Amino acid sequence: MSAAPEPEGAPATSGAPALEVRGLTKRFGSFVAVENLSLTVNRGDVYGFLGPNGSGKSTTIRAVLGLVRPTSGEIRLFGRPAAGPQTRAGVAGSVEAPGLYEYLSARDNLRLLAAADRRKKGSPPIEGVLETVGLTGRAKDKVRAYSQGMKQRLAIAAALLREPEFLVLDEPTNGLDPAGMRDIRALVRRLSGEGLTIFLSSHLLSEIEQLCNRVAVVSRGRLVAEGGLREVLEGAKGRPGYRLLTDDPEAARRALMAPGLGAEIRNADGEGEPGEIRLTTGPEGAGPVVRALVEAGVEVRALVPERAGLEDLFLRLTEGGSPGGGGE
Amino acid sequence: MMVRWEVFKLLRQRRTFLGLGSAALVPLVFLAAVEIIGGGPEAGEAPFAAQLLGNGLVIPLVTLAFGSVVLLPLLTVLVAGDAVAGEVSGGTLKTILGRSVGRSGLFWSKAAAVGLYTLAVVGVFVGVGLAAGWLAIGFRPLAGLGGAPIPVGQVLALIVLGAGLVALPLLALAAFALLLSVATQNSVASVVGGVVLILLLQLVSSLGLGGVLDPYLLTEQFSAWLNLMREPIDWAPIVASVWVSAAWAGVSLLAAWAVFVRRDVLS
Repeated sequence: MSAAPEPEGAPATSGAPALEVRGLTKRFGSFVAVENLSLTVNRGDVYGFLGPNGSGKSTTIRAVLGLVRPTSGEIRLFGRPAAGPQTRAGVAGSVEAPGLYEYLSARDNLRLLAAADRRKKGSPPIEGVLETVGLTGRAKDKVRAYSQGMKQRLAIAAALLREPEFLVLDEPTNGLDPAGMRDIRALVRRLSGEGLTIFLSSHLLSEIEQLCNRVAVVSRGRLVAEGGLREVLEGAKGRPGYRLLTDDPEAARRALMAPGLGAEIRNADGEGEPGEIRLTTGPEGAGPVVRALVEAGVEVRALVPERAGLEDLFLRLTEGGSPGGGGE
Repeated sequence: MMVRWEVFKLLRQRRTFLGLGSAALVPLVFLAAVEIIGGGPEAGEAPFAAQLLGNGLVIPLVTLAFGSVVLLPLLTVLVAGDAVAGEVSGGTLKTILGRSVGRSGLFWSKAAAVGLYTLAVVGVFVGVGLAAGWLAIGFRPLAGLGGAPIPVGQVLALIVLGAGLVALPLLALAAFALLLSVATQNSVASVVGGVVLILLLQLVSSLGLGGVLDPYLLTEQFSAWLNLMREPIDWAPIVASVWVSAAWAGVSLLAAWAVFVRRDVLS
């Protein structure tokens, strides 16, 4: 890790994570927007940054992009302390709304932003990134006339002009219709497939679940969970729940109440669909339950794993056991 | 260099053309008024007015004297006050600062573009006045205050120099409006703030409240060019005005720069 100044765009310190945040705190007056937040984004990750509105996501991203100065803590991009524009070589992205010049055409926006980068020879041409995000046909139009989805895509095009290795996307599907969301997600998958490390913030769990391999959850400026997507989701879900459908609910209930099975029935008789039983299994999962039912001669029509309600899960993570949690 | 692109942005905004257009329009309106009065029956009865109105060179001189009181300062702060605030409200400041350009580089590019706009306002204002005066009335030697007529070429040189001397305090005002733009991050507040500064300073000096500070008020510098019309030219107040304007500009720019490079960008 040489301390010598590296020319912009020089290969980053090899092996260092794309982003390391250590103990980041940002106060605005007496308001603590982010408190002692640490996270690590490894190269190649599609890293989900999840939290409700006002949880400090955007402030964290602003600190990463050099727009706000941390009150304390450290941010490293590819191993280099983030300070000044030259340390952001290889980093691109946007925070909150796309922030484009509404009175300029899409092409002029890109020309202007390209001029604000000291571009290397062989940087991606403007027409190329317009093509990538599917805006070639509308490149002459003023951004003012663009839909929200087109603006989001143009913001991504602007980021791609920097040939980033690390792309920061803050709520890229915010305000989009389903087709717009699908386009953006397809684009994120494609970029990730091309080897970009992507840091994606969202308040939509389903989006994070579809796109990300690792995830951090923040609430009120604090990190409440971080890790692989599955671990974090499973950790938050607790024991898996199931829906059982049978023609003989009474016998089934009796079989399930057997001590030692550890199953727990969550709905009263007659509550829900006819013949429906909602249950939480014991620590060993569904196997012992099925065996017990079959042994009791209960015909099982279906035993369906219950997806923990994503919203429930989210609320549990961000409010339930979180430090400083409670009503707002 | 980013100056080019800052100018490019200005040239794509209506605000810029509102400023330049007004600078072009006012001399024309004045000329039209002069033409209407000049054609009236009383024209011959007032020799001073007749002589004044019978010379196209008077148009830029009179408009410059009037324009430097409120119009030119207003047109200057209109764009200077928006320079940073407009990018904050448009959400583009965070975008441009996410590129490789540093904050200092961006700031000085903006300052330069605002300066070029200010010079353009003065240039258009005086240029249109000259052109209109020449085409509609024609140039002839101007009766000097000392009595001897001043040749056309010399008057033209004095007008250009006078425009330059008005431009200096305007540039200082632009710098102050840029400081307001950086500090308030609000375009309207910056424009209004710049105008209020001008009106306030004019009030202070017209009520004689300035005392010893009077010569250092920014508004006083807008009339320094009138000393060019004396015979002989009184250079001392002109030189003083250059320094005072430079001091206002320098302090404002440095303060604006210091705030701009440190400030958190939250829009």
